[in-house]
Amino acid sequence: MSDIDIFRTVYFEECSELLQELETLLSGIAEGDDQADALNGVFRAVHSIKGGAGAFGFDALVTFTHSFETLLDHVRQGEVAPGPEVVALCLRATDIVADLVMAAREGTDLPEGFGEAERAAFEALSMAAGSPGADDEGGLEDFDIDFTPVAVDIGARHAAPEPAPEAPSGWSIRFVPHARLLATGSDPLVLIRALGGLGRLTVSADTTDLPGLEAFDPEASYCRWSMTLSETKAGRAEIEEVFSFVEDACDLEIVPVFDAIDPAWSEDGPEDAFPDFAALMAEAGLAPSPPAGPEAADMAPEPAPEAPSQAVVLPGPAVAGSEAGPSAGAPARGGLQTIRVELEKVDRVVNMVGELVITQSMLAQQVDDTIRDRYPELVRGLEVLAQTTRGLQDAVMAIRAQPVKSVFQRMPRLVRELATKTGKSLRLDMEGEGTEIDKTVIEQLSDPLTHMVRNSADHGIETPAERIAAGKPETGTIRLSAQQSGSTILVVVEDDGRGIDRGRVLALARERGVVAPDHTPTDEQIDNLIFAPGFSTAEAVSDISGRGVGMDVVLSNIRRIGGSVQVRSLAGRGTRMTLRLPLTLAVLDVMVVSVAGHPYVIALSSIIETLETGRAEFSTLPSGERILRLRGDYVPVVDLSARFGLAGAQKGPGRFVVLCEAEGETRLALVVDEVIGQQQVVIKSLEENFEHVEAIAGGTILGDGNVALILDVDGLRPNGPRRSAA
Amino acid sequence: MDVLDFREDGAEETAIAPQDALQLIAFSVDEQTYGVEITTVREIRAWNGATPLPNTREYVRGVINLRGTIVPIFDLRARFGDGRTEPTRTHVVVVLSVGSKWVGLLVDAVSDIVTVPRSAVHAVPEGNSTDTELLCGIVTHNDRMVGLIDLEAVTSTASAAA
Repeated sequence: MSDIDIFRTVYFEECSELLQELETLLSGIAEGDDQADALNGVFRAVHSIKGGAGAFGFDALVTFTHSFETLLDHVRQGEVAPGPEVVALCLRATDIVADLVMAAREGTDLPEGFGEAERAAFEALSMAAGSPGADDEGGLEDFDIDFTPVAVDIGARHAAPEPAPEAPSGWSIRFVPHARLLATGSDPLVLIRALGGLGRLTVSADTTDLPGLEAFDPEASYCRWSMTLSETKAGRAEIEEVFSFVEDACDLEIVPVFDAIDPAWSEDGPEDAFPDFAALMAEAGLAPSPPAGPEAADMAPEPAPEAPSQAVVLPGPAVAGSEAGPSAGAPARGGLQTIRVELEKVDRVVNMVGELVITQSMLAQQVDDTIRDRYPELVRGLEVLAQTTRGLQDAVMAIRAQPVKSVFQRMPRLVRELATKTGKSLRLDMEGEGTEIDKTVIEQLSDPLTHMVRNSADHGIETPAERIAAGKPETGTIRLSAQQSGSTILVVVEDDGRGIDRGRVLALARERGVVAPDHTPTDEQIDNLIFAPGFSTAEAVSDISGRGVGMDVVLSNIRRIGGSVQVRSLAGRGTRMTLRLPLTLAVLDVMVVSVAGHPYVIALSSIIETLETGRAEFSTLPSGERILRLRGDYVPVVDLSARFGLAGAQKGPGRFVVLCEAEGETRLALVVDEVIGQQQVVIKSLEENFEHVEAIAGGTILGDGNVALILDVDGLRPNGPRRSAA
Repeated sequence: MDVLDFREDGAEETAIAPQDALQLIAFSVDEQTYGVEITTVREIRAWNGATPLPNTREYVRGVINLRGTIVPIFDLRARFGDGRTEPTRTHVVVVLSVGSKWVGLLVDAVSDIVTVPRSAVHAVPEGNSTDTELLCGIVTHNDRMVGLIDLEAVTSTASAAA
């Protein structure tokens, strides 16, 4: 990945964070939060998105965010009142920015004039504020960066380079960021590192402009850098490329250096002109760490990641003059103490800890009374190991855990769009956004949740007229909540709409053959029919919910990650759908069975019950297919040894039937030789080194080191959707 | 500071220029010798059984656990259409990396490390399509023919029905 690609990736990651922040702040403003602070936050977020967009040349995004920013500035100045319409406009604008960011990320084109209406509205509001100014009409190049002239002492050494016939042996680079460089989202350190990648780099920082703490603005840049790049093949263009994102936000001077032309430009040359950090510290009579005296330590702001040396270098006067109190350093100190780590690295740790947990439980199982008596020390050690392992697992899972907020946050926009499309008045309440779930679960949550919210808005909530007629408030409420309950997470989507029309659902289900004509399901069963495959079609479809996927997709998605869905409905009062999700996908609870001497595992979440074959009633259909009769129901039977063509399976009674629940509420009776027991396993991919195998969801490694295959119950159905080999 | 030279070809005895040398791990299947380039070999281990995969081709013996990763095992004898190997503890699995994947080849025994000049690789004679499909060349070593295995082809499951 080239540096530019890395920058891009980081920029888009930041954008999604900023967009979430925007949404939160704007929603806060709508609900009456402190406006000044929130508005500043909104302004900063939009500004940061714009800054990066400019650097990468995402023109449409720049144009739009620029207008957005201009309006926000007027609001911030109190020239435009942040009334509900303005906030609503800003929320809509946030959606548009999100789309523009997405388009920039994917490299797709948006329709001509996308967001033009909102942009026009900004301009109109800004105009009304009385200061349209050239700024508003500003083109793409118009960066809103305060141009602070900085006195640059170039000195005689920087005299114009003599054009030399041969290539220079190196480059001398003067980099003087404008005060607002940091505000554009650029980081001098990243640039300097990138430069370091081109050759041998000597850097010295000029910190003479560094103000005392009382005047210190953590978002401004005060340092200038002189760098010498030697042992490099890079030309001027490559060096300029490094700074291409900030060329408008800094003064840059690149001078070729020729060997032996000016010995002053040797490695330690510039240092007398711009004493380096250590020298400065020495001058100030400070050891590099800790800063002198407890007072200094108190005052010293946490080193800001953008400018490590700036924050730490505290020459005498700054300390002496910092009567402003500890608060001067507070903003930086309270800053984010986070690092970005590639998810893959975390995943690796999670997987290994998963293995460790399994090995540990395997060891624990080996402890019997004999061992307990003979090796008490060993047993004690194993107990400590068990505790530590569990602690480690929790700690590691916490790294990958994310608040459900990241998914919930997409819902307000969805609800706004749904309100517009359906002409209904909708309100979204959210609760428990801080609940943390494993990132892998969160990723699987987005689609089902979107679908459920859509369903509520589309089918659950009535039109305003209907609601008034029913004596309900005109605005329908959708409530989204998350909470942890033991080792599961409950996510609830609730609405105060009309509830499920059971009569209609049952009629529809009978018509489609989902329910047998003579079968009378309970209310709960009827409610759950909305998850049956092929149910939500035809009449149930509108242009919102009916995007080719039904609620059955919700169910199968949730099942796939070992969760379950439950729906309850009260006629005329609303519907509540409850998702039960595992905290993590790293470890799966399974039942180990054996067929013809080979172990197979089945996810515990899909098992309804197990019974001995001797006690099961089998019948044979004319086709030869066997079915199991169970409490009045007939369930298709799959004998795994036959299905997998395994020789050496047991015959006759004494085998076991594992009753499983497959996609869409269908059941399946699997015949196996033996049920070995329950345990936790780590899921391994077969595709990583091989390919998808029909009816197999993956593999796992058992305590004895052998591979056991994880059965894909859906893929085992006799006439179910057999996934073709990838 | 002294820098020690640990270049791999330092101990090479043959007179072949390093850039021209083709180093092979040679192994036998049914008295015939085959080879794969040594750089593709990750590990050689004794046969210790494999978990069979349902409904796969005859020459896919199943999967094994290689330090936490699941690796498929291809039965070379079966791949050549000569029926499955009856493996014993003396049979050997050669673990190789093919592209981004790791695979194992079940063979009778690993016999030698062979170094030949690249220029000595002969083309596979046209004729039997199995040969041309699964071998990518032939070299001679100690008067014996060594068939160079085309790993991509051997470990592919796309062609040739089971």
